[in-house]
Amino acid sequence: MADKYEVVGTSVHRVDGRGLVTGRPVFADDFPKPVDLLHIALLTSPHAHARIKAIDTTRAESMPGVALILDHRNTPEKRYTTAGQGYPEPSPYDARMFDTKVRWVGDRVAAVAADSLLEAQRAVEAIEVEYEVLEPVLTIDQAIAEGAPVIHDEDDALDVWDAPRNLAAHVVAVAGDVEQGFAESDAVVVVTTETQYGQHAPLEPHIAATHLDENGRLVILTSTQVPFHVRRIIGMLLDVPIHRIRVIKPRIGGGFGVKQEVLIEDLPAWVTLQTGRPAQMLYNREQEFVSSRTRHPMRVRVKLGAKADGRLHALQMDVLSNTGAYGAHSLTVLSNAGSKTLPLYNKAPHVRFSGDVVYTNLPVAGAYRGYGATQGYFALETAVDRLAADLGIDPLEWRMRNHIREGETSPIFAALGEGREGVEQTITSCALDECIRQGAERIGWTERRGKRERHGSWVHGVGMSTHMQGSGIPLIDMGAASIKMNDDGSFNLAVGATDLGTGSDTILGQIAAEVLAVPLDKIVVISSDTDLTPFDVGAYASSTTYVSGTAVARAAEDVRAQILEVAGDMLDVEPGSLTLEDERVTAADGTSATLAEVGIRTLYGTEQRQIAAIHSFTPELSPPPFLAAFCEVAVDEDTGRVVVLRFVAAVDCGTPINPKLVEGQVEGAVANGIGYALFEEMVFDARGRPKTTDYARYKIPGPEDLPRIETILVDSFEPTGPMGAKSVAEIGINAPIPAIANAIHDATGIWLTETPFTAERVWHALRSR
Amino acid sequence: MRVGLTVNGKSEPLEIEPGDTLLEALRANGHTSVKNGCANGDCGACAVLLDGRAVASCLVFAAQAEGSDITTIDGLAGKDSAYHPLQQTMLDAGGVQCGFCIPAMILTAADLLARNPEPTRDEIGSYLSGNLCRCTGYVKQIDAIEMAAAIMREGGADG
Amino acid sequence: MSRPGITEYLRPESLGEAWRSIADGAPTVRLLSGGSDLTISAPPEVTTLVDLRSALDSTVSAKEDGSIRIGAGATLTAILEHQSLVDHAGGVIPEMMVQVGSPLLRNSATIGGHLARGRLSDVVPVLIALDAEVRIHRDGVLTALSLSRYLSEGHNTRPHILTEVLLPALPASSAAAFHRHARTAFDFPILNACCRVDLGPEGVDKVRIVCGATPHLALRAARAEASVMSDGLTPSAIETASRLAGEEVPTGTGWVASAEYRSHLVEVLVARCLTTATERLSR
Repeated sequence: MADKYEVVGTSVHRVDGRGLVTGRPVFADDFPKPVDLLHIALLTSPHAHARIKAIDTTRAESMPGVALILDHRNTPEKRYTTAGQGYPEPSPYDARMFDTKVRWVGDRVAAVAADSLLEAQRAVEAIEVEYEVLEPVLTIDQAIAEGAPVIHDEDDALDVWDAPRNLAAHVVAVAGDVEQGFAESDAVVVVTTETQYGQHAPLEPHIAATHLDENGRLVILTSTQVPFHVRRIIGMLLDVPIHRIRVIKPRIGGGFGVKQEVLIEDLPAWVTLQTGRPAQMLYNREQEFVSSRTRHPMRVRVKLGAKADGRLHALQMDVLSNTGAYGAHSLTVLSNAGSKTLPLYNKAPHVRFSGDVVYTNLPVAGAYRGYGATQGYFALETAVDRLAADLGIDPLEWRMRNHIREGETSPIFAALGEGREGVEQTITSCALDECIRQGAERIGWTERRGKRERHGSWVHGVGMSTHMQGSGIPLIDMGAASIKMNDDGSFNLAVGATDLGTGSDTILGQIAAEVLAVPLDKIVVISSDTDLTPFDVGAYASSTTYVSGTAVARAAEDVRAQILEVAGDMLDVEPGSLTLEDERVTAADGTSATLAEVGIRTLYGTEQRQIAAIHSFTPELSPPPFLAAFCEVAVDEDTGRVVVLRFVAAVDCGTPINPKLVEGQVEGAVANGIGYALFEEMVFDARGRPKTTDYARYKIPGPEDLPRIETILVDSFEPTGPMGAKSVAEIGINAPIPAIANAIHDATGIWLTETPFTAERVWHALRSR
Repeated sequence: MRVGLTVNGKSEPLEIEPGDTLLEALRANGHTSVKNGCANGDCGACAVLLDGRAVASCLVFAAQAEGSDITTIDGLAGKDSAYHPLQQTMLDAGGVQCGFCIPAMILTAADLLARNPEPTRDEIGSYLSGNLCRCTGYVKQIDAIEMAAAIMREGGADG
Repeated sequence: MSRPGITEYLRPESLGEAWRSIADGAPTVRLLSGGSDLTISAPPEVTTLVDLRSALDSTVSAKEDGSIRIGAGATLTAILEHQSLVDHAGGVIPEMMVQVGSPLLRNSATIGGHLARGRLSDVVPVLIALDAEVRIHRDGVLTALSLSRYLSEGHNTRPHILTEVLLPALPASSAAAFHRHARTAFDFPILNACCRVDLGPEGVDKVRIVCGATPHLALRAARAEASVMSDGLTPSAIETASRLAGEEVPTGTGWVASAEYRSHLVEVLVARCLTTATERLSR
């Protein structure tokens, strides 16, 4: 499949690789600092729920180096959402830059801008605040209890579903009649799962630096996944026209969704606007854990009804999601818990999804790779295994019989969108059968399943799970690309698309290189600068390859046509008879012109023009990638410890534009998912104060905690995708929890319904067998 | 106070506060390849070689490093900006995603290979246990180090 | 973050000079060895660091009588890698040390700094099981005492300079084993255990069963030890001893584990240590 391409389908070096392996200053905190830079320190709330009765900054104001102190009295009062989503954002406008109420330990109270970070921190300590401490709401159940304290009692919030009941969002999607469906089913299972607070913990914390350029325009250099949303939201919040703002994304040290947020840019931006001086806000690691964003903890109940032959007849998912103190991404993550899971088993005519998002006085949940599907798949894929067990069917067979296929659809596609109605679609590529077959063979499914091999106190088990995701948000996401030709037959490719380490600059360059018949190093990729690159919604919803990639392919096709037109003039033949290959345009009679010759002619020769094109793409579909995961675990029955011995992920992402980068996405996502399944947990005390505020307490996997993750790229081709590609960035993270849970069951007979699967938790479950 | 650091073979006198960590001193003196991921000794992104051994520079006071040889990623490259085998293989193997952990990881791997020229994957994983990466799952990074070790055993290293 | 309150950095050339900096016990003055503790947890009142690098010995050496001397300035890596420690008591020292922190941490943390800090440790239970002694300098006087007494009598809370650790020579038939439980490979211990057994002509001559991170630093399971002394190391005797250890060693509940689970781990890890030590003895 991939050998019909020259550049696409090859694991060429990433275009930004040299700077990264040589440690060049390419991250936001690496650039030389202006001498008059103001550093910003934050005062955050020590209380989970309180009103600010009074703030006295007099002492702090007179301290050395202090230039400006911000709090609710001198900053914009507008309500907005920090969620980096398209306009109008499908998240409640329930946040203020500085509010008169604090809603979680870590919420903003005030900020100091000073000549040095130390002076700013010392001034923060001198700020006196009087709080009226309120009773906090610290669990989902407390939030929805009768008479619970109201977290969002402000009168100017917008689009909160039911603030007096602490509900940020509510979704229902129905097809058929599930009650009838369950009544008609021969086997019914119900599973309720709970997932914990988890944090992205990117190695580079949030950072934003601002200054006024020589024309007085506000320039924001920020570690972000969404530069264009940053520009718009900052403009709206701080009352600055969009055309007076420039947002630049440098290299960023990981995002995983936590940087799909306008989290801190407003602070240095406001300071710069008020003082005229450059400013920088850099989160420390504790702030990154406590005061940024997290995954939504969720309680998910799945009910499956099937006929005796295994065919799924009714499918219901009910979700309670905890969005923490503010509602960024609350509605859309909730929707995705259903929209990226339920269509997988489209055989059921009766489907119902319902969900509520509750506020609590805990850290704010936001976008996190997987975006609700991670939580949903825990319940769904373990319910499937239980159903299969009840029916006496191999869970692999059950999935083969029930999963969606090419040419098929699911009512959920139309019923459940991103905060609004979805978009009907038919599957145009699906190699899930092949993923299942190859993954099963690799792990030794038939040989190892049910064998409960023992080594001392360790017992082994094998489990599987299957998944779909999406490739962008249909009818909503838009990406654009512009390409221009240079004298030497090279091209500049400008994309708004955001490389957060994923390698999107590289794969977008590969797509252009493929169409223009040049090696990758003849494509100069510029990205994520709102002044220099065309619009792109940014890196989220697994959109870049499919959406931005299609825009690139179209722009490249346009440029190619212009090249052939010029070459036709040069060679005196019809453009339609020309071939473009290996940087050369060739006519049927063998005469040719190099791209460099075309370049020189168009810039300096005759009928000069700039060969260039700009194209946009908004998808009508979101063709899902598919993944079949197989894992082998060992469970130490004496201690409850779970070790993942092998993890195989067989992926259908259409054409892998750069195989090693695709594998890297799968491996990294799986690793993150294993951490979330086994070790990662944000823990709070009885007053809502976080205990896990560093990498020592919040354990992400190290090299010794992971197996050598095995990725199988299954042959597939998505006809609507650029060179046949779909997305791949998120899907891997959804697999570990259910595959591991199912493997633990194979090994020990226990069903786990709460993550993380800590040794103590497993040990308790083993004892209750 | 004044300290004299030797970084990548060059003498770099610095004016520091006694309480400054080596991480802060190095970044303030332009060595921005040494990253601040946590400043708490937990993530390894600040690793440098101190007299050839990989240490977390946030766990060492700058003043402690006086008289020692400090190596950052700049000190590893070959002549004429050729890559060190570890840099080359890290790109070849696809071990670089966001890149934030990479300079430290390469330096730590260089320390390992100086002591153990033919490490197993387990030994590589064990020596890198303090170098966290959130992007890759370590698969291709360990691949890269294995590949570099082979190249270096065949005499392909230039220091 | 840097410690902004630190305004003075001293580098004494001798123990005597170092002692004079800390003799009056001012809480503003701290001895600095590896640095991995003070860089991140120096209390705000600390103004002066006393770098012991030139004053302390950092070498490891085996003495003729079979004992092993470890200079307090030796890094944990130096201890992990030293030939004379590799085989001591059947290999328990590298077995433990390779699980302590990470290589980055071990390359700069020193044994003196680690012991003087005296908090959550995998090293301490092993050293206590091996009857380790320490030498401490106070006002020109060098005192030898067991590590157990050093910790239990609170010597590390009064002005002193720990200068070396001594591991006594072991009889011909002596072995120890160490196990820890944590969430991940690079993590603080949730519970650990070290068991050491010496065999004589009549059977078990000496046994040490030490549990750490209970959350106490190190506790001996005396009844379990007595049980091994009387009943030996058969599988059923090991089962009895480990059960006794699980009953007698007090454990506490923290956010990362409950007391009940920790007590269960005591039983499991002690059994594993005794079994491994027994296997090592028979080699």
